[in-house]
Amino acid sequence: MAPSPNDTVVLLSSDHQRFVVEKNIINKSIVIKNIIEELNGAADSDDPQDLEGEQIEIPVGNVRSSVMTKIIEWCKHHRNTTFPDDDFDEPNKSTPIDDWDKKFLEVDQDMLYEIILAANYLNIQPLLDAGCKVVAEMIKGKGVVEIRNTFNIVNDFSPEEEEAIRKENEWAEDR
Amino acid sequence: KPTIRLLPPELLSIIFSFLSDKTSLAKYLTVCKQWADILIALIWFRPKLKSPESLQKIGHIMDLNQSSTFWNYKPLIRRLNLCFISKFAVDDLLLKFIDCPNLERLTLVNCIYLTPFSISSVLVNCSKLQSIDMTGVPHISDSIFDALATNCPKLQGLYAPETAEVSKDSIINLFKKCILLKRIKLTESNNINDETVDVLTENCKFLVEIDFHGCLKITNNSLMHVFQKMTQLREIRLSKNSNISDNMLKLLQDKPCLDRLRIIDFTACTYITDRVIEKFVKCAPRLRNVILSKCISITDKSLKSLSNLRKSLHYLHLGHCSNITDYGITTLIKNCHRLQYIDLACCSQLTDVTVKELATLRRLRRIGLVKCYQITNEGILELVRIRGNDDTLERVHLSYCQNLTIPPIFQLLISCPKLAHLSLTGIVAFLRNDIRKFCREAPSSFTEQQKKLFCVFSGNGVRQLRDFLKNLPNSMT
Repeated sequence: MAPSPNDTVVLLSSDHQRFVVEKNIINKSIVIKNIIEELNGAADSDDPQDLEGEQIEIPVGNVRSSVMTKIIEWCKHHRNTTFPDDDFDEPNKSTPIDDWDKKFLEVDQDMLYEIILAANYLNIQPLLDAGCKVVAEMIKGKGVVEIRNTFNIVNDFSPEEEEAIRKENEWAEDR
Repeated sequence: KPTIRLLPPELLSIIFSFLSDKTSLAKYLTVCKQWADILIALIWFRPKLKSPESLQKIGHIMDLNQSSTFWNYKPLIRRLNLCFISKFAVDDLLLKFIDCPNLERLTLVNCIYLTPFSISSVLVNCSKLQSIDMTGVPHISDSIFDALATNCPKLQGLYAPETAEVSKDSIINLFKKCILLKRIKLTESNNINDETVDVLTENCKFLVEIDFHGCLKITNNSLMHVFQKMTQLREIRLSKNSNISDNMLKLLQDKPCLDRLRIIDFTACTYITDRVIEKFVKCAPRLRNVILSKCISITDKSLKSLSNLRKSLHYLHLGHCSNITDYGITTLIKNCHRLQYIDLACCSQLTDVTVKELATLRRLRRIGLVKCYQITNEGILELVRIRGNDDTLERVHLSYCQNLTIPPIFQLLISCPKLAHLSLTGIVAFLRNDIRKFCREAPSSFTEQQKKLFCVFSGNGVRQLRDFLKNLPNSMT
C-alpha cells in the first residue's frame, strides 16, 4: 500500500528536484525530524485543517539531487536500525564500518565528500561517522606524498618548515 | 579534480579523530598547512607521553622560546597526564610545563619524585585548571594548596590524599577561593576538622563528592551542616572516625531531602548505629552503594531499614558486622533484588540460609563470604542448583569457610562461566600441590604461615582449576 500524503514529506534539492519520502524514513535526519515535529506542533495548536492534505515541503538548499538520492537510499536501508545514542554511550572510535555502509560509500571522492557534507548538514550522525571513517581508511597507512596524490593536495610548506615541524613533533611519533 | 578541500576543518577534525587510536597523527602534519593546523591542536590537546624518551623530547620543545617554534605549543596543551611515565617525572621535567595557560587537567598519579616546588610552580597562571589529581604524590604541602587558591578559581576536582602536611589555614584559603569545587578527596588529615568543613559547606555549594577517608577530627557538629545544606551531594566517604553518630543527621526531617545521594562509605566508624541507618534510608531513599564494613554496632535492624531502598541498592558491604544474622539478610534480599555486590566477610552467625537467599539475586556478580565458618557444602550446592547454569557470578570469596570440600566448588565452577576470581584460602580440602599450582602467588608481605594457606584463583587460574577438576576422578562426589 502506498503511504498516504500525511505520512510523507517533500524534500527539494538544490537543483529543484522534488523527493517524496516517508517521514519515518527521513527521520534519521535529526534536522528534518525536528522541522516536521515543529510544523506538526504548529498545526496542532492552530487550525488543524491548515495542513490537512497539504504535504510539507522542505528545501534542502545545498544538497544536489544525485546526493539526495543517496541519502534517501541510506535512510531507507537503515529504517529499522537503532543506532547507539551518543549522549549516553561513549562513541566507540574503533567500531568497524558496517559492511553495507562500506559498499554504499564506494563512490567517487567528490560524491563521498558531498555525502559527508549532507550528513553533517542534515545531522545524520551514523552516516557522518561512516563517511568520515571511510576517508580515515583512505589516509591510514599512506605516506605524506601518497596522501597528497590521493587527495590532490598541494604542498604549501617549504622544506625548512617541514623539517622544523617534524623535529618539534617527533615526541608524538613515539608509540 | 576531486578535492578534499570541500570539507571544512571541523569535519577534517572528525576524520582525524578516527585515525588517532591506531597511528600517530604527527606523521600527517606535513601534508599541508590546513591539515597541520587541525592536527596540531589534536596532538597537543592531551600529549601522549608513554615513554621517558617522549618526555625528554617534549621537554626540549617546551624549553624553546615559543616564538621561535613553528607553532606556539604551550597554549595548545589542555590536559597533562604523567601517570604512564610517573617514575621518570622529576621536578625538572614538570617545570618545563610552566606557562601553559589553557591547562584544564593535571594528572600526577603516582609521581613519587615530584615535590611541592615543581607542582606549585606549574600551577602559576593556570586560570582554567579544572582538575588536579595528586594521588600517590608523597608530599602535598601548603604551597600547592596556596597556588591552587591563587591561580585556579575554576577548580572542580581536587584529589589529594595524604593531605596530612597541609595546614588548616591553607585548606580554608583554598575552600574560600575555589568555590566551584565539585569533587574532593582529602584524606588522613587532622586539619580537616569541624572548622575547615564548615568553611567548605559555606563556600562550595556545588560539591557532589566528598572523600574524607581517615580524617578523624571531623565530628557531628560540622557534618550536620553538610547534610543539611548540601542537598546535591552524591557521594560521601568518611572512615575510621569514631566521633560520628546519629546526631550528624539531627537537623534533617524524615523526608527524602538527600535524594541525590547514591554512595555512603562509613568503614570502621564504630558509632554508626541502626538509628543512623534508619534515618539515612528515610532521607536518602535512592542510595545505591552502602559501605558499612567494620561498623560493629550494626544489627539486623539496619538490614530491615536498608531493605526499604528496594531496587536502588546495588552494592552492600557489611564485612565484620558480626551482629547480623540470617534473619536480617533474608529480609534484605527479599526486597533488594537488584543487588550486584554483597560482602558479608566475618559475619560469623550467617549459615547456609543466607547462601540460599543470595542464590535468588539474579544480577549478583560478586559475593564475599570470607570466614563465614558455618557455610557447608549443602549451601553451595543449593546455590548452584537455584541459580542454574550460565550464572552471572564473577567474583566469589569463600576463604576460611573450612567445611567446604571439592565437589560443591567444582559444581560452582561449572555453572559460572564468567567467574574470574575465586578465593579459597585456608580451606584444607584445597591445600594440595596439584590444586595450588593454579593459584596466584601470595603477596610478598605475607608471613610464611600465611603463604602456606594462601589459595586464590583469578583469570586464567580459574579456568585451569575448572579443567583440572573436570579430570579429577572424585571431584563429583
